[in-house]
Amino acid sequence: MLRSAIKLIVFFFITASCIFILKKSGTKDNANVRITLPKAMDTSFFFIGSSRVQKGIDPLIITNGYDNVKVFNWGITSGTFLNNCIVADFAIKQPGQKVVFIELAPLVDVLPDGLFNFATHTRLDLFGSVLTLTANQSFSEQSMLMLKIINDYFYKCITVRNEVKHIIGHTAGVKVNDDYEKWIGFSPSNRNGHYTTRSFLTSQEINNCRLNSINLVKYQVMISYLEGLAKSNNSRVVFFLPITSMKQAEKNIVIPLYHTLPDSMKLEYSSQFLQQMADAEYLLDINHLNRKGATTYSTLLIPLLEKYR
Amino acid sequence: MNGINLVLASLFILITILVTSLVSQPNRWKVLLVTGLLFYYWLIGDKIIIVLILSGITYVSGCMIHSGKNVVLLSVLLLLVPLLLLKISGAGDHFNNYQLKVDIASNNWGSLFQIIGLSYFTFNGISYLIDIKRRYISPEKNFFFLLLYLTYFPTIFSGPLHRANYLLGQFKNIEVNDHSISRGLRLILWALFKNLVIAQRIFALINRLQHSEIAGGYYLIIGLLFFLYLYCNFSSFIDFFQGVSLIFNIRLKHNFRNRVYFSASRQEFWRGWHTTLNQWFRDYFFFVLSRYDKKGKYLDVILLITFLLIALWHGFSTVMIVWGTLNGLWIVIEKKFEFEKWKYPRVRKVSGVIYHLSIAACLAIIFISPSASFLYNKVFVQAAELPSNFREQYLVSLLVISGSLVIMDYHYAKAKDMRFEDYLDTKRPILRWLIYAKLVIIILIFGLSTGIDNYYIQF
Repeated sequence: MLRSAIKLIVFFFITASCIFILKKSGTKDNANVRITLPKAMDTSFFFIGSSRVQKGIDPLIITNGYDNVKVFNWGITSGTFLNNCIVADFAIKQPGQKVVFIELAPLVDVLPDGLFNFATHTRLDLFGSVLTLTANQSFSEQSMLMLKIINDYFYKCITVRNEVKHIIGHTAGVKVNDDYEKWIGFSPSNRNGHYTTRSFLTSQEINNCRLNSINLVKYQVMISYLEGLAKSNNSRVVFFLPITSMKQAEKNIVIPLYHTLPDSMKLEYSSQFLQQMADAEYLLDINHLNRKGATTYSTLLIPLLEKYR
Repeated sequence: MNGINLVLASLFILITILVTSLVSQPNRWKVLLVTGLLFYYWLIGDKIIIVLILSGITYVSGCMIHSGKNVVLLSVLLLLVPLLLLKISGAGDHFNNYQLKVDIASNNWGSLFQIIGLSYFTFNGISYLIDIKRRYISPEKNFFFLLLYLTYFPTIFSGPLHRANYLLGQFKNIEVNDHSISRGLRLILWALFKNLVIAQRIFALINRLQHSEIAGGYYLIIGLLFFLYLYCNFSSFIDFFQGVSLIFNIRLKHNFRNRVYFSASRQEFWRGWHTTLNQWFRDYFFFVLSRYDKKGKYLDVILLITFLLIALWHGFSTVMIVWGTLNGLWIVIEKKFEFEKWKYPRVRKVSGVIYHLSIAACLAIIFISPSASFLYNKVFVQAAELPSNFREQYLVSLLVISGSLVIMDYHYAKAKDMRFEDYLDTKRPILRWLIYAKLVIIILIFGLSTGIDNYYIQF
């Protein structure tokens, strides 16, 4: 047993040293991002969600649509429902009057790398937030989730993909064709790489949603918590459906969830709105809008957001 | 849940090693039982009570069968009820849910039996009872010892399936030493390479291709990728838990033949793919039915039914029935033409690999299609096309996947029929360490997932 222990220590020491050297010589993947926070006198709109929010919501267009409203795009690459609720929890606790728009997404127990970066930048208490949001879950479920977060964080620390990319010639961030992806915030692309409109949300899908047997209790508990928190923090939370979806299975979860929400807590797209959006010219790929799509989507959103100001 | 968290698995292994090395050998199986049940409880919560009740039924039934009572059929049915209810109630399209990496917690009546490892538990229980009936084994007197066999954590999630007499004997000789740790860890490292790098990268590619404009004959690329994915994903998960088990000096059965993906016929493929499950269906279903067919007239029909049953185990859906029927028919047709006896073995081997991979890719597409109409539309109605910017978008992924597959195949080709841990034993220490270093570097740079994932974990 002693021989094994020594061999393992040597092995881990060599591996850890290599990772450390690479991490030091490679770039920081969050170096290109600066997160600003609202001030006490501000009225703010936060848009929280996945890369679809990053690609599709141009804060400058929405800011120009109103007087004295600050708009924050806090979309995070690979964001899921849990990620969105954690970021929303943080946004609601910021000073000033706020409306927090949250993208509906499936509940997956994976936290994206970007959320760990966000937590580091903003000193967000990740574990505290997760514990509050999952307070109704059993001990085994909660502890599994915590271990999963530790696991994901550990993996983020040991993986050297970005550092190696940097060493072989890529600059900061992950390069996707002609665009550099940021892990948070508006990240537009000029490319048009898809020519069918089947990924766009339609009013038929919203209206003809079949009630299925999926258990939405975990989602509803998190939504109730955020609603209560918003009331005591001079804020509102409003949920919205993603305008594009890559997978039907995702729609099978988020549309029934959308229907369980009271009208005051959901952003309703009119059929005209959805028809105007359904144009293949607006797509970067099947799941994301390009700059043209982001401009149209953000412009069309302005009158819808008016009532939340 | 699609996979096992690596931090949790590491913690569990470390604690079990420590406690096992502190207790005397006769008590070591108790450590494995307790830590295994705790690990299992953590994953399935209160539903562990159902597993304990089913274990109790197996224990009592085993004793009754041994004393001559004719309760085999009743006991087997009792064990099968939860699994059947789960399969009939269905949790939707498994592939799509798996792709979304989301737990579809369902409100329907079958959700009570959504227990990780229920299939493997049930199969192990049934084989135990039938082996007692056939007088191959005597019933285990100690309930907890039987419980360890039924819920042995490295096998509960996805097999390999075992016979009681194979595992129970090994539980009495649990030992943790330098050699067992070394052999176990090298298998775990190999599994991580196959799972985190090859399987996850192929899956990411399938994910992107499936939601692109790809159509017509090109759609077969997805089938071929899924075939390779399933092998890398499933066999690596088995490798991982074989490694865990080896640390405690318990050698699990081999479940995948080396280079099974280069089989030259469907018969050769099934002899090397998930062998313990296929042997289970052979021994406890096919042989049972074929006893009634003394003249051997209906063997093909029985074979077809066996494949249908394997398909229904994957899911009660039309697509699965089609998939199972086609698989069964394929084997039956091959047997009729005696493909494996054709002349010119080298030519037969090369052409056989191409023939098998092509048809296997078609079957793999059926396996993952949400419906038959969707597949028909994609392959026959839409015009054949590759996604726009195919080379630009997918070149890096394809290069990484191909390179990793070459590394995997190189080692399997060198290993021949040896298991990977035995193959590494034949290497000089310096070469072994170079292989470890190579695998670690590839995992750290190209690994995609944070946990060891398995398509079959919810089965």
